[in-house]
Amino acid sequence: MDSMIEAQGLTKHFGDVEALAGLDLAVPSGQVLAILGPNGAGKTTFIRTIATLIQPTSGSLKVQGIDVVERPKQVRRVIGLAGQYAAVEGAMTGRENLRMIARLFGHDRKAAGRAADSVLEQLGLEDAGDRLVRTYSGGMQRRLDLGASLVGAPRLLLLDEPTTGLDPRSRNELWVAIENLAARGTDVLLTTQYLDEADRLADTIAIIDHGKLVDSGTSNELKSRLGRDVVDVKVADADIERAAAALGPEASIDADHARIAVPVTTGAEDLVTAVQALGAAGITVDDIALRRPTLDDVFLSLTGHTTEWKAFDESDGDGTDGDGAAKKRDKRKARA
Amino acid sequence: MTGITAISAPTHTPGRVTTALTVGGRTTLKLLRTPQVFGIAVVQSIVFLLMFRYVLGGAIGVSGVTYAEFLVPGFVVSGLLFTGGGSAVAVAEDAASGQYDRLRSLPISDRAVLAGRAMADAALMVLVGLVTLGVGFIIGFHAHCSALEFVAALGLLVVYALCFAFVFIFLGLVSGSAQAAQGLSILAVPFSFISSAFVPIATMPSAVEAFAKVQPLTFMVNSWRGLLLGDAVTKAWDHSLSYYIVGSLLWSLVIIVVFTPLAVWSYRRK
Repeated sequence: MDSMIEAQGLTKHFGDVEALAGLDLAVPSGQVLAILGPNGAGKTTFIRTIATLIQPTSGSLKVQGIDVVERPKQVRRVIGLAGQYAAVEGAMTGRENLRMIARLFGHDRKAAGRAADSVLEQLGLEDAGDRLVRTYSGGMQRRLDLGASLVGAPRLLLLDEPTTGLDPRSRNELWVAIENLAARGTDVLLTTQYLDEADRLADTIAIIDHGKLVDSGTSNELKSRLGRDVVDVKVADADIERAAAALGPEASIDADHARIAVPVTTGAEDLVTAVQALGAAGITVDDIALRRPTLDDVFLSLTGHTTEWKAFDESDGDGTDGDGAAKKRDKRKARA
Repeated sequence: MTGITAISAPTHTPGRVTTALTVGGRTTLKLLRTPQVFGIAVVQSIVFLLMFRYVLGGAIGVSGVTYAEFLVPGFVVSGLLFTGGGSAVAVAEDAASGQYDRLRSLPISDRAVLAGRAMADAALMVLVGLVTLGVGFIIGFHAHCSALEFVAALGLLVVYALCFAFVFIFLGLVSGSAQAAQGLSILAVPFSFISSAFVPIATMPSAVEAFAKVQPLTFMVNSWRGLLLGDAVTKAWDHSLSYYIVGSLLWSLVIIVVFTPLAVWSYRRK
């Protein structure tokens, strides 16, 4: 099978900062790859290196089998990039934007017009196509930006945090658009700091932190590799540090400082042990439950810190059904 | 999704001319759709022209011609720098909005992208210059030249504008933000004041005069002045008109040779 990307010992230094610190990752074509990691993990540096916007300090990187250092122009012929911002021109209409980029991908005038029409239709922007982009909503601008990366029919689509800053509805629309593209055979590589996004869209998830690969695999592989159930505890804020201490060295407090997670081995027995330990320490338990690990737990156990997925937690129901609903079903509650 | 026709991959990478025209067309379209940019540049230029003519003009003595006649060619040429400052800001904005990231990820020539941008910027500079020249005629400027000399002057103005466009693209790219680009563009003020644009350089202290004498803007301004006003100004000069025209073209060459690679480097660097 052809490879989507192949990185070996990839490093990138910005002065003293090591944005990529020896990244190894090989992923075959024909799928969606999510690069998951917190802010500052090196995701954007990685995707910019793939897009030939920056040169690696050392190591090798092949995109669709093409070396980015030796043949950057060749790489640019097969990729389409949508960055973190909507890089579209507000003083032009959606159609004009797409035609311009299509021309720069190498289409002649006619083909550029066809590509623009097709992309507008594909992204549900036909009605807005002849309006100036500065009148578009933020979500529409991002969709148009995604469209601009598509007019050249790239073999590999690069999306840098495609849904950051979007409201849940726009985010869902963009997800559907990405899924449709992937279904029609375009390779997609996206970076994200949202576990639910990776969980929903990606065939392969590569977790990176501090510029290195931490682990990679399918969502299920990553979860089963962690393998263990988790006791999930909620106590009063004032008690949380003490409660974590009482629950042993594996207990970790989440980013919001609201809950404690303890990976366990035997299930129900461990739940009882946890309850007893908290009782012995004289801590009142608000809520305690045994649940299957989520990607959040995987991330936490692999990197020692959580991601910023809280922002989208409330919208979990509206399209993130995969993990969100399953997680709720699996939640076996036990009141202390 | 069955109704959607699949997009076929382009078989060629776009040529340099197509790239330059497409990028230049985008910049031009943006200017046309945002008439404030052109409007503000013109208003600024006219306000300063009037201030020089009617506020400072009375105190500045020039020989051979009236101050209005002396001022207008200097003002049109140095005005390229002030309009160009706006281009630096626009370039910094485009860079910050990720538009150049997209362009840099496309299979197109970097030089062609910047050339397209420079052509559009230069067109704006020349246009503002011509409007200013028109106002100059109203406030007492008279050209003493043949049609051929006038056309030559226009041709030179286009050349100067193109050179400066690359300088301002470079400044816009290295500045990192629109505000910084604005700040850098202010350097046009001392640069234009320490030249023959507004006052005769013989009145300056010797060290300042030494700089003013050799800097590019003086060559460009004097070329324009000599072409449009003829003997009335050139007869008092130590050098011939062709000395200044050739000098201005040499300077233009130097600016292009230095700043084009710098602009390309800063475009590709990030």
